[in-house]
Amino acid sequence: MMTDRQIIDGFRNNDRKIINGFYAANKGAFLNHFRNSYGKSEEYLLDLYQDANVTLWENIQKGKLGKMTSTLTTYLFAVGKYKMMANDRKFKEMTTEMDLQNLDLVDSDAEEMEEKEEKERKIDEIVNKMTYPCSDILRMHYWEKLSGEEIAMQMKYASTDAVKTQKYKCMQKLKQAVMAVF
Amino acid sequence: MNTTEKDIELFDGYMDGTLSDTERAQFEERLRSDEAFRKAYKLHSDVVLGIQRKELKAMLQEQEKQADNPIEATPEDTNEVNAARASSGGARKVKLFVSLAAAACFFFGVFIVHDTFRMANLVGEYITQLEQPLPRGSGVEETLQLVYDDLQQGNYSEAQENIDKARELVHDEQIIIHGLTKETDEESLYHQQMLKLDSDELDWYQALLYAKTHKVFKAKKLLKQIAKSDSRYKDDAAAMLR
Repeated sequence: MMTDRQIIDGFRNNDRKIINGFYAANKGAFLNHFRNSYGKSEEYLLDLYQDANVTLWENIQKGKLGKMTSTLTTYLFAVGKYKMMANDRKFKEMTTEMDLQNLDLVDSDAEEMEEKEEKERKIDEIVNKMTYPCSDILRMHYWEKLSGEEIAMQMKYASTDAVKTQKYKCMQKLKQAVMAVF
Repeated sequence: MNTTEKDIELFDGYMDGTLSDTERAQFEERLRSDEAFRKAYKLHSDVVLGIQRKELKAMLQEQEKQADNPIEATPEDTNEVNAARASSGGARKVKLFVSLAAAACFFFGVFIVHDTFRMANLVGEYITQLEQPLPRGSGVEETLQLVYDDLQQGNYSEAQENIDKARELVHDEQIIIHGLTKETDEESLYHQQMLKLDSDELDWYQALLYAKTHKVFKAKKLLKQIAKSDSRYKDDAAAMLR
């Protein structure tokens, strides 16, 4: 039986099966809950659900869930609610003090979150424009977590040093593009 | 600060948790004391998270696409069509009616026998393709896991016992939630939705079990219910009925 701890490990290691399984398992309940309680459109709810999963994944990567006292699903719902609050002034007015107390699982400043999301959006735009070979080498290294040898073999590089140098160049290119925006 | 290849390896090692205790302590000390280093690390981690976020979003969107595969509308029930045609025909001679009834009995008899075996074979594929019950922190999960194992191993009488047991557990939890909380409070709604997911999973397992044990009418009835519901198995049920 899979525990929350195992699911967190799966998220940390970008385990496709576990992430997809968790996503599919909670989707219906999440959409129903936010649809019935707040009457949002399906498109909005789907975006909200995906964003909540991405934030959950990010917070796991940052080690924020180390001392979690609630279940992972409750945490996901709280993230969804918090995101809705940040996006929607009307919803913010509907949120009671008790709701806010329950949201101490995530960063508490909605303005700060908005700013952070804007920054992430700009970084995402830059990352999305990446082309071959950077898109492949960085995906293999940072998402699939392949070793230098495995990347060299798949991308037909002569050595792991060549992979390291190419990865370095790609990262520098991305960083320069990000620095130019901020 | 100009980052070198070595800096990048150090940043990655810290993010992955692969640095030794001493290296990590030194790294954290430098983060506290060296602002340029802290900024360089922040930029690096922001970019890495951006790369990972891109892949995660692509993966979730791929999953959405798979879930959205359009399923053709279920054909109208053949019996209903036949009934409508029969009623529009007006009076029928008794002799003709008896002949047709006999032919129909023969036709449906053959159809049922054929359908029984076809469905039992078909359901075998669904059972082998079953995924592990999805993790979501419900108390019924353990019993669902037993049903899953029973179906995989062909222990059908045990599967039925465990389905009944899981239904009782769901029922008990519903009573507890109803008794302890206000129906409108968020926690209660959340638990009710979790129990709904468990019930959907149980219905799907039950339908597969009926089909596998040649209880075709029961299987079809339940599959129709699932196909018309908002269960996450509705598309599978509709496909199986077709």
